[in-house]
Amino acid sequence: MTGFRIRPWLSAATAVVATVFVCPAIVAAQERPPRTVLTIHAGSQFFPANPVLDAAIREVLLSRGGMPIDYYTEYIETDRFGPVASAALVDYVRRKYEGRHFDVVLAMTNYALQFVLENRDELFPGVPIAFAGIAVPGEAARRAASGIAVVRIGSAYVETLKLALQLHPTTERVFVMARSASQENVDAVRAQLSAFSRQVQLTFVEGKTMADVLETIRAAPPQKSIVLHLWQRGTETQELPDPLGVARSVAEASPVPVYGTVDINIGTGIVGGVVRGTRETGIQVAEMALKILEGTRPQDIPIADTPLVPTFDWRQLKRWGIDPARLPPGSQLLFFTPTVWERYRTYIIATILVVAAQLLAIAGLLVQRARRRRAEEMVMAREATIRTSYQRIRQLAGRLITAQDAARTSIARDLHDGVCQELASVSIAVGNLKSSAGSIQDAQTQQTLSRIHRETLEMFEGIRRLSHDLHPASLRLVGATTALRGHCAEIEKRHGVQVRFTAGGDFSDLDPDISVCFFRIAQEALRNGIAHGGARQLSVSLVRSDAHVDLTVTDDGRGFDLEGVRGHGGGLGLVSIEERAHAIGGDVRIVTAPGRGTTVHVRAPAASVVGV
Amino acid sequence: MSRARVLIADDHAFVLEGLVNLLKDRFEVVAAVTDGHLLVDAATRLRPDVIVTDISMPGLNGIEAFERLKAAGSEARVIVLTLHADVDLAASLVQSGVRGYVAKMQAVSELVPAIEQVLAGQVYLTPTLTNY
Repeated sequence: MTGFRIRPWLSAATAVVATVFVCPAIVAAQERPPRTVLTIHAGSQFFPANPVLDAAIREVLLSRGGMPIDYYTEYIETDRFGPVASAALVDYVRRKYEGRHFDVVLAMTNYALQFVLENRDELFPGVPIAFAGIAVPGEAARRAASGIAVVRIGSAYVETLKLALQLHPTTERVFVMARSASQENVDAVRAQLSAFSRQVQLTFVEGKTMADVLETIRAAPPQKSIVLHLWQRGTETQELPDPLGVARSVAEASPVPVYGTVDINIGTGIVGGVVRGTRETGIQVAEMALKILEGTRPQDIPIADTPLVPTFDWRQLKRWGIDPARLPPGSQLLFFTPTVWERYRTYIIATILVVAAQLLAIAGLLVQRARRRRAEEMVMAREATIRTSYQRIRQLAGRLITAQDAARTSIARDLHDGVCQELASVSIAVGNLKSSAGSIQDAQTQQTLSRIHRETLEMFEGIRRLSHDLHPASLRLVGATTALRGHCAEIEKRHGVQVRFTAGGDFSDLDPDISVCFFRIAQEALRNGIAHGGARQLSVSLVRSDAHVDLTVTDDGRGFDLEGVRGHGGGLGLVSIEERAHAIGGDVRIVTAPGRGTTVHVRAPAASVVGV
Repeated sequence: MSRARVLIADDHAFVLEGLVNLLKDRFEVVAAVTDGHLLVDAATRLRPDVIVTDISMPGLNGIEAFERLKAAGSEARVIVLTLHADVDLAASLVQSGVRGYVAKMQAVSELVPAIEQVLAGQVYLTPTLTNY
């Protein structure tokens, strides 16, 4: 097991060893000493554009170069310290970088370029220059010595003001903030903007201190003026260096929209403008430096222009009520904070759809529920109808039994009281005839009369039995117990079985209808037990208590599957027993099982309400 | 020896006529009536020695009429003539004071001996009694 485990570990170790000992040899063969790049910025490291520019340069040099680079930065702060700063920097650089060779020097702004060129022989002999600035050196200067690569920084003062006036057509006055250490620059701006003086009043804001400047700005008449903030160098500002402090102060103080031409000022409160990309400038100049490091001669690199892009602060557009649709095509919107709708449109729509779908589903369920309720009501109504029908059927069944009993009773009575009486009368008449005098005493006549008498008796017996089966006439005369006892004896005789009869209690006041019912039930139970169950031993018990009459008929027959018989509609005998019992408000309990005999027990109120 | 006085009750006219014919030669048939009420009236009025009555009659049946007469103190001996040849019925009737129980179908052969036995103070029960 151990052997198998060791193998992957061994191969990994081999790989590590190979990497450690072999690779550095290859790398060392290709490796060159790090290149050295120095960037000279104008103004302190906190001057608004410098941190952005430097970050962009570093990013390009260190990430895209694919070669080790030693990167240094210096700041020529003549704007704050005067010419002494330049001289001091020369001394500082010479002593600081003594013994080092620069591969490229980056000069940011014309001031920096001027410093580099003036001290080129002493500090940067034979070092190619990459430059970003407003004023492009002549071709001779660019080709001189080891050459200069150029990124031209455009300033869209005119375009910015033109755009601002388009967005604010009611403007009558423009406060221009263009203060510089270089009067040349100021004059250049004045010259460029002079064309607008036919259209609006141009006010170049002067002021010894920043407070003076801001006071002028604060007085700008609303609706009718705008502020054009270009640059504000040389003014005494706040003590703590804040790269964007001037723009922020102006924007805060101004009662009217402020436009500018520097991208990094967007975000301080100014509306925007056609701005140069500071970061893009850094990237462009750094890329030129890389080309130089790779061997391209600076003068062979074409002059590049920084992009000028209309750029706006979305929040300021809102503040001043400027419709973004009025901005020129290709405009950039910064600080775009979309409304809840704009930001979450997809989610909102999805949510609305989901909610709508749920509402639909709920509505569907409600409709379904209503339908189901209606259906349930219908079912209940039908059930009620069926129940009523069932009850009526039972009533009818009860009535049918009663009617049947009545019909049987009537037929039985007719037979008994009618036919039998007739037969009795015939019998008596024949008897009388037989004993009368005369030729009737002839032997043959007597024989015939005897035969007639005998046949009459037989006919009577037959009819009497039939009558008794139809209705026990004796029931009326002798009561339930006597009639039942008689019936049991008759059954014994007729079927050759044993039927034990017991009775208890007084039945004299029992309603004849109830008597008939019990008689019929007993009759039916006995018949079932003998005919279907093959019973040989049966017993009938009739007991009267105060409130009830209990009839129990038991047999030793085969018994039967009660539920099975019920499930198939029930035997007719069973149904008739139950219906008869129900007709007098009684209950039937049948205990039986195949091979276990059968017990039929009926209990009914003694004083029954025979409603059917 | 005067003949015994017999009252006959049966709602069936032919039977009644046959009975009268059967008995008239041996007994004095004092009346032949067709229902229980008439029976009670006639018995009360005529005081017969023997009453031969059917059970099933309209109005008042034979047994009810017997019960009334008994309650009224009648001393007439009652013979029930019936189609119900039922032992229990016969037993219960005899128990309540009926002296004779004759099957109507056997009237021709049984009734005269039955009346004579009853008059002699005996009880007559038809030999054709069945259990039903």
